[in-house]
Amino acid sequence: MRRSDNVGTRAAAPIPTDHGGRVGLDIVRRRVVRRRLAILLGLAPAIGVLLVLFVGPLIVALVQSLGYAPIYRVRAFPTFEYYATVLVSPRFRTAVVYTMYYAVVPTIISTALGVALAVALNRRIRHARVLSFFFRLPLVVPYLVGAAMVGALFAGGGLVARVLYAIGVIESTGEFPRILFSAGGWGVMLVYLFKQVPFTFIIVSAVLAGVGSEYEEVARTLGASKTKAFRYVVLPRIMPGVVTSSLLVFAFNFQSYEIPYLLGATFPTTLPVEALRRFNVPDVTRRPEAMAYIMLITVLSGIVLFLYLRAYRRWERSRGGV
Amino acid sequence: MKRKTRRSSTIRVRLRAFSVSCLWVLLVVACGESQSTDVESAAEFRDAFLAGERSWEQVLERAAQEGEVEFYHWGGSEALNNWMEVSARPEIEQNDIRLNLRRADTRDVVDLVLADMATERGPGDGTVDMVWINGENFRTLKDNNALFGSFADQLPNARYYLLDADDPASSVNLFDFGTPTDLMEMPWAAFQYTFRIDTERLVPEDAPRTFAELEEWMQENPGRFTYVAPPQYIGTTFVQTLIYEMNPDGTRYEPFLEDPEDIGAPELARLMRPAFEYLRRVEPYLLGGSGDPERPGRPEYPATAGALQSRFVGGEVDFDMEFGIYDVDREIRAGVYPETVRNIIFPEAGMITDKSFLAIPLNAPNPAAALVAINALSAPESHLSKLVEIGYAPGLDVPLLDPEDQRAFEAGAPDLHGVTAEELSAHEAPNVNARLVDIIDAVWMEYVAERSSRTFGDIVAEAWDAAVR
Repeated sequence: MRRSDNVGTRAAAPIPTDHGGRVGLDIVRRRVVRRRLAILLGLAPAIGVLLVLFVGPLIVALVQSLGYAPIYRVRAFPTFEYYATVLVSPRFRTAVVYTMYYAVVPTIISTALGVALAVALNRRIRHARVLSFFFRLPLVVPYLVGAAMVGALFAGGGLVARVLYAIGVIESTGEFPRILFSAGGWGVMLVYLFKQVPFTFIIVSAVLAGVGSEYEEVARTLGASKTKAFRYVVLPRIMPGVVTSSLLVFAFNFQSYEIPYLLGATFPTTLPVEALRRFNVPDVTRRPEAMAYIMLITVLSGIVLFLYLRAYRRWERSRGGV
Repeated sequence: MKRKTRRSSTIRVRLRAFSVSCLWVLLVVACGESQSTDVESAAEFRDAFLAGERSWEQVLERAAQEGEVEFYHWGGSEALNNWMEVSARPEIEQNDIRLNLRRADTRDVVDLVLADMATERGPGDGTVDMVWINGENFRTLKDNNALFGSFADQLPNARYYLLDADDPASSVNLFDFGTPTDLMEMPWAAFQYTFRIDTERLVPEDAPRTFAELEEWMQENPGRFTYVAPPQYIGTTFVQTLIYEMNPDGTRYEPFLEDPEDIGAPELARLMRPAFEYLRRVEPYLLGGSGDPERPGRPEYPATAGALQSRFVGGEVDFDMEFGIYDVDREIRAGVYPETVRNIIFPEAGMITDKSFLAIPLNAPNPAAALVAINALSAPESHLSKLVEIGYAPGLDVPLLDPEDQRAFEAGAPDLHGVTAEELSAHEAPNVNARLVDIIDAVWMEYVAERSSRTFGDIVAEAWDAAVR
């Protein structure tokens, strides 16, 4: 937000405002209009993509969820029947709880670990470069490959179980604790962490590099302890990066379906998996139910993100409105 | 400087004028061409063909004019994809048709056809010429009047298929999950649902032959069995198989071929209850179950057939299940299964057998080419190479072939590993009515996966309502 304000003031700066009189004002006005037009035109490709790829499908989903889907011979528009069906089902409520759980827990853990890693590697320690290279590696691996790796490692008959069995820690591979496909969702979260710790690490590292270490050093020379210097000097400065990365991570976890589908329990499961199941019911006249799910996912995710951002803004303001 | 710019701008103007006139020429040529050809429209061809007013020569001629065919098929098997390129392509393309293979999920193809129909793209204006299909997907197209029509018996190669409505042996060709095909799709491959064991871990003599025996076996070997979660069709078929054996009337599959609307929810609940009670009862003994009959534990239902297979191969469970009697041979050759894996006859009450088909959508852009291509894929040679190369059991009826061809099919069939063709055909059972699939899936999800506290009757009634509505 702050950055866009800057752009605005800078754009207004070169307009001569000291002319006085009507003619001058007109020129100013015309220039402003022209500049706005130029900005709009410049943004047009981006806005177009957003409209076509994001807003368009969302509107289609909304309309279908309200009962207008002639493709599937559904012409009940407008009806809230599909929302009612979804909202009264206990499965929906369970799915909301589990979606939150799968989204929030990995977000907190990966944010904590990512920040810790970034701060640790920002110090002058040996091999920091090599280490940070390795920590970035998982980013180039797709989520699905991550899921396959976690599956191969932690399944009941997976590599870890077999190694433990071979060295005699467990008596049969069946004794290996069930990490995947259980309601605890540890398999799902492992994949999330594998990808998202490095993601948070990179974003926070970049912010840290911009902040520099001078403030922290000053704080330390003025007698602040390591923790205090971090808590009162470093953390507030990297907070925008932390908030950004955790927002993205949360939004992804909230709407991701493939990982819970592949590594989660059959039941309970998350909203996106339930939506996909509804969508795949052979009877196509029930597709609007899936669309109602999709709209609810969008709204819920939006509400959570909005509340989170608002809380962050309040916190910023309470610190004296930077 | 100035002159140069002016000259270049005049060049630009001339260039533009030239390209515009080129466009005009093209347009005129294109219009002239479309006016000069007097090929009948796809809709006219469809009506004439279905009325039996087109000879096969005329179909071949039109197919060559159409010049290409869009063949959509499920692309999840590398072996099949290879076979399509190596065998199906030359068989189809020798008729002067270019084959465009489109790999897609069948459900997406159905969506594509319906979306085309919704934008009023009728005969000749669609995207899909032919599709490999069966079950609910076929039913959806049929219910939406999105199929070309009853073509199957008009193909020259139809003589290798039993298509006589009065002959009960034809029913596997004329019914697709209980939906009458009305000859709107051509049988292409046959699949039987088989269970597999690894003789390294389980001696075939000790393998259960009924679900009742399987329950005892599970109690003695807790955690060594699981099945794919419905609504994945491998899981749904497992539940169907169980429903047949647990049918309280002992009439096995018979009542389940009917439309659920005719059966009624209370009767359906009565017929299915023993099977679903069984599924709840055995939960403690499934993979991840507690082993304690009082608590289910956390039973693990793989989401896909591949996930079950990897647990079987990885030694977590002792049974694998899939459609395809020659699968074992193929998977052993591919190195996926160890050489000790065998098919077993399970359950004795009936192993579900069905066919998959090739269908033509109503709005196929190249209907004649689709007919010719399907005819090419219905030839005995094509089915033989499919059998030998990738182990797909033939969709045609081998007894109708010349004795020589029959011997070729016998000789070419891959090893059945542990069972005989006679045993398999003696235990065949048809698939359930397509409309029951939704109900079974919904009931399983709520009664078994969710362990809902509602009564079984209520759960079935709700699923029945949703499916019949």
